[in-house]
Amino acid sequence: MRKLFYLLLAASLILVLLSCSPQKRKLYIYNWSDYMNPDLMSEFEKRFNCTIITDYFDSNEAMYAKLRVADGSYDIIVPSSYMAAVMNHEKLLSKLDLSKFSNARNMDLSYSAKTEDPHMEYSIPYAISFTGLGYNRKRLGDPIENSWNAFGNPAYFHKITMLNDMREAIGSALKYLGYSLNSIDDKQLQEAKIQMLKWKKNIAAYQTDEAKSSLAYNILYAIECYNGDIIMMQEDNPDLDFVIPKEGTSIGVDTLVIPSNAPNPDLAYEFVNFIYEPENCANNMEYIGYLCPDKPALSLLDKEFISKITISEELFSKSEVIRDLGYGNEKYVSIWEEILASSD
Amino acid sequence: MKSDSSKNKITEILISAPTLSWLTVFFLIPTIMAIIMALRPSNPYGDLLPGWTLENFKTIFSPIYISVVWRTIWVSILSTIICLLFSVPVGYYMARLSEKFRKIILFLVIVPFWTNFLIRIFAWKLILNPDGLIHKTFVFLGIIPSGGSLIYNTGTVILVIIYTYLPFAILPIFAAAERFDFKLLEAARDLGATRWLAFLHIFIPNISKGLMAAAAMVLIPCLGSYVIPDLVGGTNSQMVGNLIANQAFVARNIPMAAAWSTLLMAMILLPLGLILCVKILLDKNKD
Repeated sequence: MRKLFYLLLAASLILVLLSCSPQKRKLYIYNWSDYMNPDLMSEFEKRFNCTIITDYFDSNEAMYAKLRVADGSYDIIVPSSYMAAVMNHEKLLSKLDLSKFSNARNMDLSYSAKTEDPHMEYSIPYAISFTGLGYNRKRLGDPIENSWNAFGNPAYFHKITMLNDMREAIGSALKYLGYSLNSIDDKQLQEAKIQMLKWKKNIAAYQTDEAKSSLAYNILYAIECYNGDIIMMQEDNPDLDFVIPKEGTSIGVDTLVIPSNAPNPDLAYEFVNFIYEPENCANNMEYIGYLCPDKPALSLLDKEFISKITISEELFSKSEVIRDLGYGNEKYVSIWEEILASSD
Repeated sequence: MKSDSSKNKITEILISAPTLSWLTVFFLIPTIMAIIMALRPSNPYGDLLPGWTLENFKTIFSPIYISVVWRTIWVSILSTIICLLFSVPVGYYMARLSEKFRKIILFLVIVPFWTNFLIRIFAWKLILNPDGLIHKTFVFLGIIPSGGSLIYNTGTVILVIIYTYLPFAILPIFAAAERFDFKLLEAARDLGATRWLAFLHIFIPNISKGLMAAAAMVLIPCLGSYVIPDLVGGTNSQMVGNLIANQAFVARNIPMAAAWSTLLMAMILLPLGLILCVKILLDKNKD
């Protein structure tokens, strides 16, 4: 018994010593959950003799709040483009040295062109998502109405949800009315509010993640969601389908950034270069179900999958990326709260 | 005599010191911090600006929020009343059971806590599913139309709140009922009271402390509800908790979130103060 104890003690001491061996570098990543293929990460750890430590966040705002008090804790963060712009504005990000990324040369910058950082100065596009309507073909009987006005369609009364995200929700009303989803024009926003109040009477709720389980349980027949959500859910339920309304939608561009106070920026550069190696990038797209606009990686994927993670030229030209609006943001907050608080 | 009472006072202070310091560190200081935060101006990047403002408090009293604040109050009070109505008979019968059965029932009351709160809320989505037995029975009985839904409305929010907080009401009432001398009920019956009158005039006043504790245990978390209206509520089920989350997570406006928290705190402290006053009055009456 005593022997065993000493053996265990020795073993644990060795483990402790190993884990603090000075050669092993550490890479700290701050990411959304389930948003990077773990196999790739362990391969990187092997190849570069390092340890990756990942923390997770569930909203850009939560990540931002933490970073402001814990600046210097992460090497790589995966914010959405508008949040990357805010972080850049607050001088939290390092300017990227593109000469260090041999693999970033083939990036399709047409998505970045719609963001605040069109030339990859501080952020690299990592995953592109499209907002649309996920629905149960069997339950609805027909394909869903191809318009944002599906939220007001009485056939879907209390069986459809909008995202619990003020910019996405008000954005879809703005798109339906033919306006920009980054509008800060009071008249247009007022019209969008009236449209939202009409839809509010017909929809079941404003929900983001919870709506997905409701769609799976057949409590809802249609939800506003992201294309990747449905790709993931189709594995369990082939009756599900996804459509992007004809008026155009919001394109989400999640990016990789390196904070200005990253503890290990060199390793961060190595990692970014590794992730954008064509095979790795293609592999990662298959895992997360979202597009990464890296041309050589896309050439490795089959056509059917690519059609699921991309949109048509026509829709692309009608779609926009949500931008941070600075003080204009307050207009959205007050409209959103007015919509939520209104009772008919 | 005098030195005795001062000694008693010192012991009293020593005994309550841990509780007091706990409350100071985890309740009083955060509360004051929230109130101070609510008085600060901020910009859209989440930075606090220098100076002080009452703007945040003006905003929360604007008429558009009245419906949310009112809903928070009535949903919480209604849920608390229903919880008490259920737990008084449960506590009463539990206290009268034999030791063995009492332990079993007590165990059953506590058992839901073994499962995560969120999972239990998700379970309700399955229970009330349109393909489920309850929904189908309700449709068959004509209570809801066949295309209707049992989820995504304020009624479901109340149902799930009651389900979640019922054990918190049962336990203090049971604890009070256990200490009650049931012979008193027999005495009242011998003196001519009906069963109901004896229950109302003898049992209820004797467990009043348990009732107060139960009411506080349910009402306070109810007022702060956020997850339940978020998960099973519909478009008109928002509560103050949801407004706080929106300000903190979406609007990046911590001072506004703090202003709402302050209002919530006032809403909680007010009934607590009332309960305390009633308690003191009751104690006085006894003397």
